[in-house]
Amino acid sequence: MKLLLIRWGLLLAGLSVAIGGGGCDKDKLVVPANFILLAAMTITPDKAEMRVGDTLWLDTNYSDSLVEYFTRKKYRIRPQNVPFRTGFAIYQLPGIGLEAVPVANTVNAVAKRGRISVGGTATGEFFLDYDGSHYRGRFGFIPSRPGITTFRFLLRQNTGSRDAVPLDFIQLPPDSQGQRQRAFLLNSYFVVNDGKRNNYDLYSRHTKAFSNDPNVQPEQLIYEMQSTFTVEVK
Amino acid sequence: MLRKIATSSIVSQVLNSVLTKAGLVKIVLLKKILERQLPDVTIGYRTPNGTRRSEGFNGVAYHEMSHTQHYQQVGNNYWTVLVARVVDNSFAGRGPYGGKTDAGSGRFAVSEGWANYAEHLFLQNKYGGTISAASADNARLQLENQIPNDAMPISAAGTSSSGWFIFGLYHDMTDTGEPPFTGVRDGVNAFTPATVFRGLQSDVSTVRDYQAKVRTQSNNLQSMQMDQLVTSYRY
Repeated sequence: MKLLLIRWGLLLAGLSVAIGGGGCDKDKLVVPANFILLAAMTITPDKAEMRVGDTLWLDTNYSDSLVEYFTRKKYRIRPQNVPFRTGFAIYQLPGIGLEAVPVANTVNAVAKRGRISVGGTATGEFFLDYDGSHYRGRFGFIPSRPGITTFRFLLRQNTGSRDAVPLDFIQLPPDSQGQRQRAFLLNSYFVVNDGKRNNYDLYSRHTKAFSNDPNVQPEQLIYEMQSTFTVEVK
Repeated sequence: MLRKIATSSIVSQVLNSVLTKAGLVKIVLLKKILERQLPDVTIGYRTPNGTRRSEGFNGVAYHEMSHTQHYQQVGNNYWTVLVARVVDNSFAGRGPYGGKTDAGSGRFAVSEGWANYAEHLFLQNKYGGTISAASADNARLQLENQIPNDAMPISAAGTSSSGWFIFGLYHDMTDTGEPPFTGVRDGVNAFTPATVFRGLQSDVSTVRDYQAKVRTQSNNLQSMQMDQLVTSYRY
């Protein structure tokens, strides 16, 4: 019986080396280079207040050469390389310590260029036109409910994977130690009004903001501080 | 669940008994040792570019643990059939779930639908109002914007999702409103995640079985709207 157990243990150990260990060595040959891609959008007017029934205009007109966050280099990403989907979430902020209230289904939306769909409690999608070099869209959001309202915009790679997406169409030079680099797309984000005129101060007065917390990842900061637009609807 | 099925199913116990009576005690011991090496749940954390971040890892964990919760409710026999269907589909080259019209697809529609629903529900609850709000918002988008699609079991990347697993249907039972582009007719809003889960009993092998079970359990609550909802999911 003891011999049987030892044999079985050796078999398991051998299998784990064959499966796990082999994979480890192979992976070490290539160094992952993680990408975060940024795309610009503008929202006007960018004032901190608006009236019920007024329209907030979202415009996109960005090149398919997207800026990579860490290196600030541009890479051409066409839909056939990485298909992107674009969406948004709309919440009202009742105050710090209180749960945000989803209000997307109280906001009317119109599309002057591209398509838009609102109707979910918290979220909706918009679809940009791609003309071979630029992604373009113009959409109007018309809030119907007073309150501190925050719009968060998402740019997501639509590849069917939970994990970072290999960008094998991008050839990177070897790293400083001569190891081959392979590009992976960690995430992609919209940057509203250059990340500046988006009323982040209004946002941070009405909900817990994390920009000054320790150990915050850059992409988490991008989403909170640059992919978000906040306005008080009166 | 594999280890639990292997060690506790009636088939396994009968086999042990037969082998023991035949004097093959060593074989029984070997069988038990092998059974104990089977995993109940496996959750991978390695990816081609390193390891999963906590949001990604937690999503998989929520998904797989939701299967174990479902398993606890339906028992060995239900799950053994489910595993057998996975094996059968895989050997036949149809992928683990097969197509919507293949035998046993209803069991996948409700069980994988449940795991995908719970995964995104818990991601939304865990990361909403945190620095990882993007994960919460994306999870919400997946649930609110499922487009029923007979051609694939699930496609849940990007900002919307599609497929014949009914994760969006479970969400629609609890929320109000529906984006027009999904084509779903959602007039149901009176259920909770707990009452959604209660419907997943061992005699529920199809989406229509699920609808009937929920109708019985809830005393016909919004039963007409439920019928419209299920029909609009193309069942």
